[in-house]
Amino acid sequence: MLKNLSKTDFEQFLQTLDSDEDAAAEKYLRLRLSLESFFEWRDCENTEELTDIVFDRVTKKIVEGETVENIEAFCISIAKFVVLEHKRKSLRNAELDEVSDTENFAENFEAEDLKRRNLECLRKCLAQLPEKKRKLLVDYYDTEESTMISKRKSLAEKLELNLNSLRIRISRLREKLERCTKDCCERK
Amino acid sequence: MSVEKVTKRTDNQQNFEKFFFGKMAEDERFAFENEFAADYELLEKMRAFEADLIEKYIRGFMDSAEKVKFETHFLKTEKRRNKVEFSRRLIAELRQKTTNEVEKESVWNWFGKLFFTPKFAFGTAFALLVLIFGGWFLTRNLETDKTEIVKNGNSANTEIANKNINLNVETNIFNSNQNTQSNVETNSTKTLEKSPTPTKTPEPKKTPIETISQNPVLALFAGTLRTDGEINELNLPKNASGATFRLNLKTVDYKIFQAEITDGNGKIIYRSGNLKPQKSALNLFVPAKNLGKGDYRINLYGKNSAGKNESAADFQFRVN
Repeated sequence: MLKNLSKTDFEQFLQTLDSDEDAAAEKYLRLRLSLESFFEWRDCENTEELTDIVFDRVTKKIVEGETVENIEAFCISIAKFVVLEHKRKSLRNAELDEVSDTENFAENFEAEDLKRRNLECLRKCLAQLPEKKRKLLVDYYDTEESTMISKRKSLAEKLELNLNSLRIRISRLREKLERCTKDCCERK
Repeated sequence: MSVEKVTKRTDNQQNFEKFFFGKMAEDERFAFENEFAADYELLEKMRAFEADLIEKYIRGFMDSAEKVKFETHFLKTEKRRNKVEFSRRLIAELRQKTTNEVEKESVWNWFGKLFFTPKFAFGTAFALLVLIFGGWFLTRNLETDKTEIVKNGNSANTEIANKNINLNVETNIFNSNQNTQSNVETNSTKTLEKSPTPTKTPEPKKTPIETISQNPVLALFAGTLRTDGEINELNLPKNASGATFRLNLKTVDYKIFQAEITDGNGKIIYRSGNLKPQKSALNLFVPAKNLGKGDYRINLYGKNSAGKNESAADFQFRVN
């Protein structure tokens, strides 16, 4: 994360987000997720790396004395430039990539191995979830197309939520599981 | 829910759809990106919408037009394809859990619930006592009958019958192993099945089968048909992301190749990037979306020193 910055630079950046340390940390994580989503939805692969580049540049501007009034808008406009640079670079490397992208047998078997590890990790992460949350996921997906909306509505009512909030809760859980599975696979 | 809220929700849904399917003009898109960067709630709604889209795709709830839109605009990056793959695995795992839990609950819950109704608790306890006593009485009588059968010398039949069952179990295991081996070359879906070990009990254990999709690999040799005159067939599983073709060459006259796949009507349906041979073979990966059922031809070209394509070999296959 943020390779080219010192601790003080980063603290100054956090200060711009909020004078309260905890609130600043919370805002930083949310902004980070927004930027990662921005890059993902702009068809970039290395979203974490590109997000770090944005934070690097924004912090540098702040340290240099630039006054930033709307930090989110400022980050997004820098992110847009980063995407353009990234796409240009990708185009230049396209020819080389085409050759190296070619799959071979070894890669295929590796992919199978990865799938197996993924499944093991997913099961492990599901087992780590509190029973209540696991049951919520099971109930949410235990539907057929014809009964999906009505079943989910009644599930939301049971939890005293509206359908939209339930969908968001499930989406958060799903993302948490995805992160857990990814971390577990990288450790293996 | 107020009219204002409903209208806002519908607007959001329409915007999300435009956003994810690439229907937003650049300015509009950038304004929208600014909006979700500043509004975390909106971002969460978008992520939930994205998860719904993925679920609809995985579970086959999309019509063909939606599916094409999704594959063209959404499945563009490896990251998103991985996301879809993760969701596929998660939903399969959770739905499998439901089946298991229903099976588990059906007996034990019913049994447990009997005791939770005070009105029936006494009656149930009495009925159970009768059952236990009756069972014990019956078993005792049967034991006596069995002893008599042994005395009559009929036990040999029972043993033979058991042996036959054991033989069948072992033959089935052998057959299943053979099938697995013969499928290695053109396997479509690899089913990881814990092979039951030969057991002396006649009833084979029912173990849950977990299915992991695998992209099939098909080895092809230059020319159109196999030596037995049959066309090479590829069984593409529904959940495979594509297939790898191992193109075996007679001679390797070029350093770089390029492949074009044409369908039965001669229409080009896929063109590869540059391919580098490994010894005398090339591996060509083709995404599943390009491979519907039908006959195909792979035209392989080699790049000459001037960088121009020269026809190098042809291969033919059929997708089932």
